[in-house]
Amino acid sequence: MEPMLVARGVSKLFGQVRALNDVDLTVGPGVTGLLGPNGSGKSTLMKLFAGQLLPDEGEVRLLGGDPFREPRYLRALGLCPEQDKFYEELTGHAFVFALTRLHGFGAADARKRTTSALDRVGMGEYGHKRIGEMSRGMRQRTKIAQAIAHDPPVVLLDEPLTGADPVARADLIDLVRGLGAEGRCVLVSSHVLHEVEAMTHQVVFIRFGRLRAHGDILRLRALLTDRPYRIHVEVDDPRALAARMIALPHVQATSVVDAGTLEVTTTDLDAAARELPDHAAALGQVVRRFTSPDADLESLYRYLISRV
Amino acid sequence: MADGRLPDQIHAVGYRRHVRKRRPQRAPWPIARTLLVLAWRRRATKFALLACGGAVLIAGAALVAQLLFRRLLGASPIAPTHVVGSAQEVFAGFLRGQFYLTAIAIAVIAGGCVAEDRAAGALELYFSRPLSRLDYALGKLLGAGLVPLSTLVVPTLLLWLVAVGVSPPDLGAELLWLAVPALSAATLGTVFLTATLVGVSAVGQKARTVSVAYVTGMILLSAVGEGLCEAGQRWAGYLVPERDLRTVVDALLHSGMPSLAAQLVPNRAALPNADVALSLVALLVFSAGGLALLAMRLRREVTG
Repeated sequence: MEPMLVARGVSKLFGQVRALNDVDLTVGPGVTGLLGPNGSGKSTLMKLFAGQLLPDEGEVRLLGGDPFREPRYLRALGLCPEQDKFYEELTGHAFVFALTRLHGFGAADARKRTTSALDRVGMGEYGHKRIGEMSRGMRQRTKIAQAIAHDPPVVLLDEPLTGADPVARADLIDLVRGLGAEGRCVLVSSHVLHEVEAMTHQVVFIRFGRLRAHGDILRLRALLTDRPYRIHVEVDDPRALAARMIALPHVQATSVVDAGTLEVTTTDLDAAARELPDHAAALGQVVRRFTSPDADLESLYRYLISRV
Repeated sequence: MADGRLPDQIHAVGYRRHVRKRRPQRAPWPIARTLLVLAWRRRATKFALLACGGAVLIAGAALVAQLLFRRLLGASPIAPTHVVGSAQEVFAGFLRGQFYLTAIAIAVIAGGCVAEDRAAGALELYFSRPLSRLDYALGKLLGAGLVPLSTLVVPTLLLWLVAVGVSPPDLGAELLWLAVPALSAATLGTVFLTATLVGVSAVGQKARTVSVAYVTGMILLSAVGEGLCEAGQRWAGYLVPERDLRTVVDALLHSGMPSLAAQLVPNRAALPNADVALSLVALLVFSAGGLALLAMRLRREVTG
């Protein structure tokens, strides 16, 4: 399938600062998380895809076209920027309507799409409210509504969950997943890692303007062979299990954390997960809990950003 | 079908709606509309429009009164223009006063047209749409331009129609010709005010700051220009936009009916062509300066 967003050898300079450095990236349908610390180049990459910046080197493609030089390709794009203090005097409906019309829709069509988009983000009944009177979460939802009102195949969301309360966050996560499930290409930039993890397993890591990693969280983690996984296992007799586990070739170390918890350090998480219940059963023990603090997105993120 | 007859077979029942390809709407109007919707939500906008409307009503009332008075006393030995002035003077006074009122109105209504977009980060939203910088600029110019169009051009046209409608027969021909200089002045004023205001807004950050700076600048420019001009520095007269407008209008009047020119600008001799050309150039340079500021700002904001 044709990738929907492509960056080939893209570099962007702001004066002496190289915000992006030789980035090669393709993003296809589904939700992809764009991760990196502040100043890593996430927003610059988003702006390049949104046709607001021209790369100094390389090329950017949105559905095969240059979004900067050929603005017609932007009909296929919905952008939800991080900024949230737009026209305070406008109502949510008027705001989304005005921006939807800029995609070339007539007034009646744009009105229908505005109502539908506001309903979809749960703002249907607050459409008459002025943006200045809205909570931050409501503004976020209104911003997302303007990004999806024209039904774009590509959606860029820059920190879409900022300011949303827990219920709204859960709703927005569902909404983003829903957009991805519809076959749209959704690129989400966020600092809240567990929320990105709830939306997708496809991630892009950027640091110092360079692409550090790109792919499925678990598969990326598996590629970090020089960094073993820690596993916490809750059993009745951790010492006995430790003695059996240390004999396994992929287990590097075991240590008893407390009377009921064993920590196993392994280079192969899948093998450990497969074999551990058998070894416990052979000892007549039941594994009550099995967790790995190193297999989640946060651990991967920490590892990738800590290596310069 | 060897016999050439069609077989009895139903292929489909009902009809399919013909899907027409959607023709994209032009972008400048939605941009202008948003500008006006935003402005309409501010109380200052309503006050500004009310002031402009009041001035139009006063001028209209004066004009009607004069023309009716003249019509009634047309045959009287009392020269009516010496009693209540002339219709042309009302037009000249109206255009002069309305130009400054419109400068205030456009500053209040559209002062933030670009400045607010920059401050609020709305440019990011605009340019993630299939818009060119030209579309955006045209939208803002259209939105801002509708203010002087409705407070300067349309009222001038209305006043002229009223004047022609109620004028006595002997004045009809002169008043007909008055449309050319009056509407030209209003149109030139509209172009000047729109371009300069949008240019100032492009370099400002806050709507209120832009409005205050624009009106203050206009007043200062006029005061300094007039002052220097009276002190003998003739070149300074070209710095006063309203004076430039008057010069151009006077020239248009002179090119038309001489009797009317004499009534409207009784104390001024026929203007040399160079003065008129320089006044026109001054107005166009001001306007071009505004447009250049807008273009530079957009270029900077959008390409990063």
